[in-house]
Amino acid sequence: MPNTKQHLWLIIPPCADRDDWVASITAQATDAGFTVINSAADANTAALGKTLTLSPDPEEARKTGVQAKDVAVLLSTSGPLSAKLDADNDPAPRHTAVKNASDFIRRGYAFFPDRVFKAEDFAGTSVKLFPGFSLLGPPSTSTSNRNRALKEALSIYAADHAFWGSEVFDINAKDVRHNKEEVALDLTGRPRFLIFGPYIVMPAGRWKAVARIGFSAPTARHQYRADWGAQDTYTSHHFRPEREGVFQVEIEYEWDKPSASEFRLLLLEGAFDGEVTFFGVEIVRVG
Amino acid sequence: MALEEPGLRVLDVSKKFKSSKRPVFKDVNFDLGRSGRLALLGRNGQGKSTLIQMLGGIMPPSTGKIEWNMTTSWPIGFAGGFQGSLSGLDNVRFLSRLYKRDYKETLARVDDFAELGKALREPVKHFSSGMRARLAFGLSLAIEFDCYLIDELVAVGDARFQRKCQEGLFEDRGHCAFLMASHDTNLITRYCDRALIIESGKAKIFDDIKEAVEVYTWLRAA
Repeated sequence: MPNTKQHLWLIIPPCADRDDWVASITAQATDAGFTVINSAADANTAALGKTLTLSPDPEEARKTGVQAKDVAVLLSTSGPLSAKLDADNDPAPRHTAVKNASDFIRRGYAFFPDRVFKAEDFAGTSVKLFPGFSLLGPPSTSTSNRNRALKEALSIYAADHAFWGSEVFDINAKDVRHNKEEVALDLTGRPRFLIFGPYIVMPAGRWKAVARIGFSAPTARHQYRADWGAQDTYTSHHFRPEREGVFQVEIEYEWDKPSASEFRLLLLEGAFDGEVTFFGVEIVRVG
Repeated sequence: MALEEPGLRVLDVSKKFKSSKRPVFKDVNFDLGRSGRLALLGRNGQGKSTLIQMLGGIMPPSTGKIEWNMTTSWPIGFAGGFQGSLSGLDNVRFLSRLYKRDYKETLARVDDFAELGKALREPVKHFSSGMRARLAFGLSLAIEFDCYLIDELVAVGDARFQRKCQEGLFEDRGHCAFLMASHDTNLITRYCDRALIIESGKAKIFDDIKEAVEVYTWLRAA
C-alpha cells in the first residue's frame, strides 16, 4: 500500500545554484505526489498527505521534532555565495553570507550527521533521499574561484580538517596578484590588516591554524602579528621573519561554543617596499 | 575639456655619481600640477637634495628627462647661486636683470623680507649661512615663481623668521606649486597633499600624505 502520509524536510543551505536546485526538486517532488512547501513558516498549515518542506536552516526542521530519517541536508558544489554577493565590492555582506551559510552547514552535520548528501553524489544519477523519493540534481553550473575555495574550506565539518585557500580571505593592499593557489601582495603602505577572513563558523573545540606566508627581503625586516580565533577573542603571535623565505605560522584557539572564525595577518609598521605571498591556511582540529 | 598639462613632469630620471657604483636613485617618475604640493621624504643620504638640485637645474640627471612648464625658483635653502665677491645689493641687481624684474622694486621686497639692512652692502662671501639663506629666500619670493623648490625650510633663520617664511610661502602664495624636502612631518602633513619617498635608490609616489608620513616615520626609526 503506498505511503500516503509523509512529512519530509530537505535542507539546502545558501549556495550559488540554490534556485536551480529548488526548481529541480520542486518539479521532481510534485511529480512524485508531494506538496512542496517553500517556507518553513507554512509547514504547519500544509494539508495532510505527502509534503516536502524546503529550508536553508536545519534548525527549523529540528524544532519541529522531525526524525532524522525524514530529513536530508543537501550540499551544493557551487559554494555558498550568490553571484551578486560574490561580485560585491563591499566585503561585509559577503562575510555575513559566509557566516550564515557555514553555520547552516555546521548545524546540518551536527543535527543530522548521517543525512548529509553532497551534490557530487548526484553527478548524472538519481540518489534515493527517502523511501519513494529519488532526486536527480540539476545540471552543474560554473562557479567562481572564491566560491570553489569556500566550498573546499567548508569541508571542515565533514573531516575535522580543511585547507582554506588564499581566495577565501580578504587582502588589503594596493597591488594584489592572484596566482594559482597563492596571492602576492605589495606591502607598501601604513600599518594595517593585510589578510583577514573568512568568518566560517567553527564547531566547538580546539582548532589549529597553520598558515604559510612568504616574505621578500624588504618585507622580512618588518614586525607582524598573526591572529586566529573568534572575532572578539583570539590567540596572537608576534613575529619578525628576519630573512626572506616561506614561513609557517601555527596558532591554536579553543572555541567553547560555535562562532565565526577569523585568521588575520597584521603589518605592525609602515612599509616602503616589498612583497608578501600568502599560500593559505590549513585548519586542523586538535581537541 | 582637455586636461591641464602638468607644470612639472619627471620621466625615468636616474642619478649616478662617477665616484659611486650604485645610482643615488633610478627610474623616478612623477608629475606636479600648477598648484600641486609635493613633499620629498627620505632619510639622510637618500638623494632628496640631489633631486631638488636636479629639478633646479643645478646638476643634470644621468638619464631621463625633467620637463618644466612653469617657472621655478632655485632651491630655497641652497645659497650656492650667489657671486660671493659681489655685495648683496649687486647680487639682487644681477638676478633682477636675469629674471627681467625691476631692480628697485625687487630690492625693496628683498629688504623688507630678509631684514638684512646695511649688511646687504657687504660681499656675500662675508654673510653667515643664515644670512645667505635669508637673502636667497627673500629673492625667490621677490621675483615670484610659479613653483618653489624648498630644501629643508627649517634651515632658514630663527623661529620668528621661519614663521615669516611659512606665511610668505604657504599662505601668501597658496596658489603656487611647491616641492618641499623636509624631515618636519608636521610641516609636511600641514602643507603637502602628496609625497615622493626615496629609499635605497627607489622612489615611490604616495597620494595619501598621512600614509606617506607613516611610512617615512618607520623608515626613519628603522
